[in-house]
Amino acid sequence: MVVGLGLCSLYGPTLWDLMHGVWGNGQQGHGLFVLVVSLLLMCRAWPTLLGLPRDRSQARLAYLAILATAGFYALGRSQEIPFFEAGSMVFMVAGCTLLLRGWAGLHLHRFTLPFMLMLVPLPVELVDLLTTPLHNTLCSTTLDWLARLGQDARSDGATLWSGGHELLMARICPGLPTLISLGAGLLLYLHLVAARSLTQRLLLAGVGAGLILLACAARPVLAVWLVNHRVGLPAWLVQSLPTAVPYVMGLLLVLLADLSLRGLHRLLPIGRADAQRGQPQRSS
Amino acid sequence: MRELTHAVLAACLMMAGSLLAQALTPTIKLTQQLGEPRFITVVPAQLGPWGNVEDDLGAVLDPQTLQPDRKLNSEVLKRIYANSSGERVMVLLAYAPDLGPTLHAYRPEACYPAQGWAVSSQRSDEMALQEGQLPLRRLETARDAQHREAVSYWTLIGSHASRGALHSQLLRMEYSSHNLEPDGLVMRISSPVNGDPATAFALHDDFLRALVTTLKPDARERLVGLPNPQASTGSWLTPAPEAPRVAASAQAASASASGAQQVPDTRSAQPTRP
Repeated sequence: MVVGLGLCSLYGPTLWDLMHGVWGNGQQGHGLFVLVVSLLLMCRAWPTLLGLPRDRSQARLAYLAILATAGFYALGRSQEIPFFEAGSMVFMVAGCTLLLRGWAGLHLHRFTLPFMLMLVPLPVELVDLLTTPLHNTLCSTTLDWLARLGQDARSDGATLWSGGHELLMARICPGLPTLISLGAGLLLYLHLVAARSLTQRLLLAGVGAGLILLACAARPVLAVWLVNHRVGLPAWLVQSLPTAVPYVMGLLLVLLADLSLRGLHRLLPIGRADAQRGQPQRSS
Repeated sequence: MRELTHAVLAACLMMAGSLLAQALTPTIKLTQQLGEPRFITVVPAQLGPWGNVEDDLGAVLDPQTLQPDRKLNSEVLKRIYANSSGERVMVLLAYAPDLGPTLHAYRPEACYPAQGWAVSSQRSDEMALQEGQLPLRRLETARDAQHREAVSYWTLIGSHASRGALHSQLLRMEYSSHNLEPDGLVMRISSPVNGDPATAFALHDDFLRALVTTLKPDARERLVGLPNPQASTGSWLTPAPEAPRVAASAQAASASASGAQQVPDTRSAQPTRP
C-alpha cells in the first residue's frame, strides 16, 4: 500500500501529462493500451505475488535500482524527456518487487515488465526515422495489390495517385503506433491464449508478425478502393473505415493462423516434444 | 514490521526523486529575460537585394493547415522574398515560447512527408558566417516530377543553433542548470529546384547572408543564434569551430577561417549594413 502510494505520487503526474500529450493526440496512442493491459496483468498476478514468501535478500540491489531509477525519473521529468520519465516506471516497479518479494517476484512478472516497456514514448526523431521506411514498404505492397485488383495507381512514397484522386500516404497508411499496438496484441495473445509449446509460440510469433504487416497494408488498399468505388457510403465512413481494418484483420488473421497451427499440430509432430516436456507457466 | 520499513524507505526514495525533479525543473522562462520577439517586426521586409514580395506561401507547407484542430503554441512568419534577378525563396519561421511539440511539427522532416512531399535526401551542413558556423539541415524534396523543392533550415534552442536532437537536449539542460527554460525556433528557407539542387542551396546561402548582415545584433541573436564559443571557453556543448564544409562562397569561407580563431560576440558587435 505504501509503495503503491509512492508510485502513484511519482507517476500520477507523468501519466496525466502523457494522456494529454502523445497518448492523447494519437501520435503514440498505443502507450495507454499497453498500460491498461499491464495493470490488468499485474492485478491478475497480485494474489500470487502476495502469496510468495517474503524475500529481502536482494534489498541492497533493489535500493540501488530504486535510487538510480528515481534519478532518471528526476532527469526525465525536469528536462521533459518522456523516454526517461515514463521508462523509469518499469524499473521502479521492478525495483519495488525485487525489494519486497525477491527474484521470485520478478520472475512472476517476467512477461509483464518487458511488455510494459512498450508504453515508453519513443523519441519523435526515431518515430520519423522508422515511419518513412514503413510507409515505403506499405506503399510498394499497396501498389502491388492495387495492380492485382486492376486499379491504376502510382506513388512516390509520400503521395499516391489513383483514379484522378490524390491521397497522402501519411493519412492512409497506419503509423508506428498501430504497428506497435498490433505487436503488443500479438505478444499478449501468445502469452495468454495461443500456443502450448515453445516451438508453436515461435512459429506463431513469426507468422503473426507477417500477418500484422499484411493487415497494415490492407488499410491503404481499402482506402484507395473506397475512394474509387465509393458504393454510396458517406464520406466519414470512407475516411474512418480503413482505420479499423488493421486491428480487425490482424486479430482475425492471427486467430486463423493459430487455429491452423493447432490443426497442423494434431497432424504433424510440431512442438510435440516441447509440449510433453511440460506446459510453460502462464501466471503473470 | 520489517516489510513496512522497507516499503516506507522505498516510498521515501520515490518522494526524493519527485522533489529532485521539482528542484531541477527551471522556473524562469528565457522569454522573461530576453522578451518575446515579434518576428514580423524583427525581420525586415528588405534584406539587402532581397525584398518581401508576398506574405502568403499558398500551398507551401504549414503543419497547422494539415491539423487545424491541433493547437500549436507558436508565432509563424511566412514570407516570399525575391532578389533583383527575380529568383524567389520562401521563408517560414516558427517560434515557440516553450519547447514542446510545436518545434517538431515544423521540422521539414516531419511536415513535408505529412503533406505528400517525399524527402529524397537530407544531410547536415554548416554555413560559414562572419560570426561563426551556423549548423543547417539540407533537404531535397519532391511532390512529383514537376514540383521539387530544396529546403535549408536551422533550429534554435534559446540563443544557440542546434546540431541535432541530442545537442538540443544538451542545450536545454545547460539552460536548466541556470534555472532557465529556453524558447525555440525553426527557420526554414525553401525554393523550387529547376535542375541542380546545389544552385537552390547557393541561393539560400545568399539570402541567409543578406539576412544576417541586415539584422540588428539582438535580432540576430534571436534568429540565427549566438556564435559557437571556442572549446577553450569551457562550453561542453559546442565543438571547436572547424573549417567550413559547405560549398559556400570563397568570401564567406575566408571570413570563417579568420572568424574561427576569434569569434566576436554578436551582442556587442555593430551590425554591418550592406
